[in-house]
Amino acid sequence: MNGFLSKLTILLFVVAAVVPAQSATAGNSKNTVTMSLTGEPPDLNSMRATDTQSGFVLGHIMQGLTSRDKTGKIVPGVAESWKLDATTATFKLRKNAKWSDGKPVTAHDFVFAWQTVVDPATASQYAFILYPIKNAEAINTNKDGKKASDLGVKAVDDYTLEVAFDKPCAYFLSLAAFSTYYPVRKDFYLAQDGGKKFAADAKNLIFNGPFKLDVWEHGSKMKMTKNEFYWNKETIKMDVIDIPYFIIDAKARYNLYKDKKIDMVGLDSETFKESIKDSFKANRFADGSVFYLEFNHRPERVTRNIKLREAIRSIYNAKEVVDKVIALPGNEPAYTLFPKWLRGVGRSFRQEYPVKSHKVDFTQAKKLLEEAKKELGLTQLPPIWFLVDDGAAPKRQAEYVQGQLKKHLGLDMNIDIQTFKQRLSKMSSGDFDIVAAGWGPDYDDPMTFADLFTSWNENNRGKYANPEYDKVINEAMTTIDAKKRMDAMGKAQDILIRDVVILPQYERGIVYLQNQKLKGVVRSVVGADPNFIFASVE
Amino acid sequence: MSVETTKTQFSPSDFTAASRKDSLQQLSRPSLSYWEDVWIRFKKNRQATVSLCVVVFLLAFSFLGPFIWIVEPSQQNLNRISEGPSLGRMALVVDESSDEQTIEDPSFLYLPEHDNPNIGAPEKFEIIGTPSTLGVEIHWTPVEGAAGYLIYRSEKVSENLEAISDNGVVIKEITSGNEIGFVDRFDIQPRNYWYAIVAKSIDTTSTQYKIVSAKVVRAIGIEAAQTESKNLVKVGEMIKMSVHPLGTDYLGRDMLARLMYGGRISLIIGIFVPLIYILFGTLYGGLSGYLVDA
Amino acid sequence: MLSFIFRRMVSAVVTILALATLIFFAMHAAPGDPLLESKASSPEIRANLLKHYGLDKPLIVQYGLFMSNVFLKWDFGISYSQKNRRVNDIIRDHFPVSAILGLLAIVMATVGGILFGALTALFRNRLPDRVIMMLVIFGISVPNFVFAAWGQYWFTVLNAWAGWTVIPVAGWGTFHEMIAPAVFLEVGTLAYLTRLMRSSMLEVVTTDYIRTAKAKGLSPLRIFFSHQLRNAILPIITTLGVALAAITTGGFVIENLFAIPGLGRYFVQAVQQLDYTVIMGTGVFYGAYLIIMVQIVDVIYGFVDPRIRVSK
Repeated sequence: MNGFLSKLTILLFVVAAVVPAQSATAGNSKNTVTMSLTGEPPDLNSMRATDTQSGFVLGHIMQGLTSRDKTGKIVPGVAESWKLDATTATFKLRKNAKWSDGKPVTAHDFVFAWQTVVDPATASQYAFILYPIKNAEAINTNKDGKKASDLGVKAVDDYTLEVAFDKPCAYFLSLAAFSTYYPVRKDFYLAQDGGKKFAADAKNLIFNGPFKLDVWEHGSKMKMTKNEFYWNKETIKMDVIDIPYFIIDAKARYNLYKDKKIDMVGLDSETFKESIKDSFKANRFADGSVFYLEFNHRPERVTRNIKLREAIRSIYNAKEVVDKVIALPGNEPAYTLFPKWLRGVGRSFRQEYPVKSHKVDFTQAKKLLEEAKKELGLTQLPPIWFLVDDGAAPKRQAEYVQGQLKKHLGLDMNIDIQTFKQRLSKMSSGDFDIVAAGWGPDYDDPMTFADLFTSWNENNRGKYANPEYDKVINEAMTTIDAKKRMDAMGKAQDILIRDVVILPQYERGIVYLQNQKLKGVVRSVVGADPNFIFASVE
Repeated sequence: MSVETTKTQFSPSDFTAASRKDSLQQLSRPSLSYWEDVWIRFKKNRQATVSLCVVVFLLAFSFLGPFIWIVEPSQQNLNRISEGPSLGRMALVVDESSDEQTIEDPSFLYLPEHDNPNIGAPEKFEIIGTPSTLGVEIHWTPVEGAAGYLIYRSEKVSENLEAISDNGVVIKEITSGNEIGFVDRFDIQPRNYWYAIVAKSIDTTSTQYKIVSAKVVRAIGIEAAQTESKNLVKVGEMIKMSVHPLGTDYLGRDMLARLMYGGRISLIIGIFVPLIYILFGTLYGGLSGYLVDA
Repeated sequence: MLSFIFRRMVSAVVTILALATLIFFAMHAAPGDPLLESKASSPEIRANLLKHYGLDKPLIVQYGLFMSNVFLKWDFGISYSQKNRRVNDIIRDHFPVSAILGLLAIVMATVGGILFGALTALFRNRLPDRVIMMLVIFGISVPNFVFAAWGQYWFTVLNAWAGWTVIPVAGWGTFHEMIAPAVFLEVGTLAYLTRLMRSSMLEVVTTDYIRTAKAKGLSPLRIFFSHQLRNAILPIITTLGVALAAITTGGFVIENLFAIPGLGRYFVQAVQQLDYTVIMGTGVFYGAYLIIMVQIVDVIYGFVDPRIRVSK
């Protein structure tokens, strides 16, 4: 027994010695930022990636034709100049843009990447974001016998890229900065087991962004260091972005911050209270997404009745939910689908097309409910089904709505708690009356929100279908005249509010702690967030 | 069994055959059924008895409790979120204004400046009315050139006033220079708070700030107070609020009532699950034992 | 003996095949759709995805393909959520982590359980016994993640007070980082083994051979170590196999809290995200692992305890 034990102990020590020992102390070495991610990026293949963790890493190691500055404005990236009109765009690529093996980034790399994305065999879930390009949709959906090579993108020479559009795309420059539009080099891609192993490990990736991925130990750690071949490397102050932890538990992450092991941490309502006790300075940032309750407009559901929806809106107090139920500062009550940060023609969209907060009115609500019953031909409404995720916060909000409905309208509500995937599947099949949903923007134009409730959009889970709304959005989609587009979008906003298509809840805010020595970290609504490209350590 | 022999003298009658009846053994104790025996043994075991008492208590608590403590477990009260246990708290009756309109001064000329870190702090920064758990109303005088304001809230103020914003959190971001007031309703507890205001130009935040402290009192809206009290209540009175012996949860629901309700469900599960175990366990074990031996 | 082992192996293989079948159909019967993401995709993209993962074929064909891939080619396929990784790689990379953590935990639990169990038996009904048995009740009834979350908080306090990292809050790689999660992982098992050891020791005390040993005039220490302890350990060995399997597979909460790249985390994530290939891969792997552990213990037990005849 003793012999066995001692052998085992020796074995353990040997294993411990073999696994590389590395302890990172936050802010210890100059120009290093240490942070944690909530999970490992599931897919660093820019042509297929869909999630925020992958977006964060890709945003640091890759660069598209365009890029963003500190304030989120579009600036030249790999392309140094461009011409854009309603039917075509021509990009002039800079000659000094290089891959991390020293070879130049050429127009062919973009052509290859984009053709691969729309190829049905790639099965990229973000292929739709390339649809403004000529033939992209037809290729991706196997229509008209179009092949990937028919895509409306052409490398005129190594440094000139020509793009043809199916319909005018006013926000194409913003799309060109998006990860699905990043370049991929054909010879490198094919060298990774015919593409099968591309992005499987750090060695199966090649970079053209400010950083390169040096270490990727699955499930455990990642490390990005400055890319010496990046064309604009003089402006990059940060040397290392170290991610030694993938940790999902908010409290454990908070403890890591407190222990000075990481430089940034996001807070939930529980850790927020602790951070106040510990006298940390909390920062806040609106991440650009909007959360709302989506009604089911299918004909077999009671929520198809507008009076019922109005009645529910009349008792819903968005401010109370934000202040008391969610209880995390940073969230702002929302009264429309379009968040504050969106730009309109000159000023912000919301300043140009303002909305009023709806009034809470219980007597009006009761009246509306009676009318709804009459219109539906029911003396007693069946229980309303509220579909939510199985997290703690969504359950709280659902319980709040349940309590309010019972108290003020005498309505019964069943809360249908489901796992993430099952909720999505019930949303798609329409098995709900109300569902707690949210939307994070893909690009910085009101259209990323506005087209959600067109009859053809797959994300329109409540199947709201209104030809008037479709027409307005179509108007916005077929012009690049800013004023006309925004007017159409303003009209869309009015329709959404008039028809109570959704019940906006809040614009999400993130409360986080950050090492005071870390400067210039950009929190961005679209693209990599947090963004360390402009950051430095004091 | 030893037979006691006390007789020393014998008579011939002692040696006649005994009748059948006499020879029957006498039971020395009353006959016990199986369960009676179990109960006696059970009572002897102190641990078991204590555990039984606990189970009986839990059953009584969750099944009989709701008949004594008649409080709806799903009744929410968002003004009394996450209270600790108490046998009654006093609260100030206040006029509850549900008006959520922004407080503005339209006459002020709103000309936001770009990139000016030297715009000053508001001249006046003050609490309006009694700060209560229902809301703390703060007003300030507008600053020339400000594009907006940041309002910080802190639970402790440090000696070093420069650190005010280091201790607090931005409770509200005002994005218009015309707004001159704001009602804080964010998760307010009856304690001391310090508020700080900093003006912003479009790109930068001023280095100057103003602070004000608020001693928040527990309060109840007049309407809610009237439903809780039998007598007529007036604004400004102190009344005793409804009792929550075990406090309330995150939506202000009574913990005691919820505990009874939840306990009922847990006990039912606790009874049925072992029953299922026993049923399948004995069936499977019995069968496999029988089949192997045969 | 050999035929016994052979029969055990055959039954193990049959069990694993049955298990694989069960997981396969249970997983496909489970509600939800593995291909749905928070952003919806068009029917065409969905069709492309179905083709990509072979989900467009009839279920029975998928089953046949799966079984032949796994049991003939030993290939579990590619993960749905980590789109560039083979499930075989996931198991190869992350099972050793769980195994090291589990081994460390089980060693601590066994040594501790024997030690505390023997102590309580030695001091029966006296103070050390009472105190340890109280703690044991805590250990059994409080879930280990409660201890772990509580512990992490105090580590931050301790480290701040000491000025250096006495106990790391989280992370994986060095032996230093392994200790805390292993300790929290084994709390329940430690408590259970302590109880088991105590009752087993008390049973042994009343046996004839202890009385004989006392009558022979052996020193109490000698009796304690070479007669009482050695015999009382036997029941512990029976439980070790299952306990090790349970600890290695059930550590996902601890793995999540301490950012440990163990397989348990992948298994649970896969179930949540309906990652079919990873569920199948880890499910079959864990099942096989558990079955093999139980069989090994059965065989070992026969060697350790001469009173048990395996050829029964």
